[in-house]
Amino acid sequence: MMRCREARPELPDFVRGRSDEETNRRLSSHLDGCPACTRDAQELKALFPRIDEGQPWAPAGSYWTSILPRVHQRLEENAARVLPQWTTRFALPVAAAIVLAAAVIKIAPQTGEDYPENFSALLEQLTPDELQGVSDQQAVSEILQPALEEPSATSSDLEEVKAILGEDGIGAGSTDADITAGTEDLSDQDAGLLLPSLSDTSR
Amino acid sequence: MPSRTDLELVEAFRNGDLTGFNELVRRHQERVYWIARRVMGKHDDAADVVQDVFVRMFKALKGFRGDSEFSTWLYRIAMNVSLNAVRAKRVKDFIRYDDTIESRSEELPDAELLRNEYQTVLERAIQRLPPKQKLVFIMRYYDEMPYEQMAKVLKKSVGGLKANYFHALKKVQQYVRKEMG
Repeated sequence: MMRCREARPELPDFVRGRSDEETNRRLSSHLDGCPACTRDAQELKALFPRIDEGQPWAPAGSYWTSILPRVHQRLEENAARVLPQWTTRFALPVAAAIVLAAAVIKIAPQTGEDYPENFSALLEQLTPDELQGVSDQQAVSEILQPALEEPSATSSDLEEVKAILGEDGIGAGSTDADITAGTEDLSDQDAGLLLPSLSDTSR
Repeated sequence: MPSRTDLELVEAFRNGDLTGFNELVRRHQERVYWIARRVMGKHDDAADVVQDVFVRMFKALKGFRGDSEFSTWLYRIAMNVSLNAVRAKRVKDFIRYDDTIESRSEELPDAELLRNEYQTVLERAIQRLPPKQKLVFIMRYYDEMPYEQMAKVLKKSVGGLKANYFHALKKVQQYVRKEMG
């Protein structure tokens, strides 16, 4: 004799007529003597036609033909991004170092060890143009500094993301792992293979 | 000329023939779209996910070993990309599902706006399902995917999936009852 715990998970398919004969027979027998499961079955029977009515609108035909060109465009963009990403990693620190070095060279010889006391006097000696130059360099440094300080996620960021991703259910670890092999940036070899032929989506 | 199998197309792509990739996209784009659309709700979000799925497919094809059906493998990518996208959207925007539904209604065609209140509540109920439970619901209800295949994609037991599907439906039904009185 089937119990409620076994019967309920079978109800959706049973109500939609997708159960096999053996399950149908056992479930029918259970429902004959179980008002609670019978009520569940009736509620599902009322719900399914409503769900069927609420199908979302389908996109226009032109959308389907636009998918492949858009994918190729994204692949081209990704391939083109490989070099700038690599260079940006070094360009920003180098630029920041140059700006900071310029600021130090400009100030250090005149201030020496008396820098705190002589700073006001030093500023008074500067012409308005020089003063503006120092101010601009400082502004550039301040803009660049945050970018230098947060090149990637911190370990606490990663922990937070992990906590969010693991918030519910089913096989999160295993399924996510299956596509990690495909998430790295395109290699130079991939880019070389791809670039000459990407613009042709007619084949 | 008979159409090539998915596996033949994969092999062609690996040998440098881009038509293999193109054909795989065309062949599976509709199914991938509807997974994404039903998980994300909005067409624009789904369209972004579709592109992301095929970009990932492009990168990952060289690692496809053929241990499972290609469609199962692609389905898993689509599912993971959709789940990550819907979670990122939730975290980033702090959007309540109710807001998502309301903002969606602004971009729907007239016919869609005429849906009755019951349909709106029902749609909201489905969108409110926890992401992975929603996936089980989508795969079984809309896609009518056999439980055995779902078990391969989700790496869960058939019994567990059946229970998940039933609970998803109960949640939808209870939400509708609560909202409609």
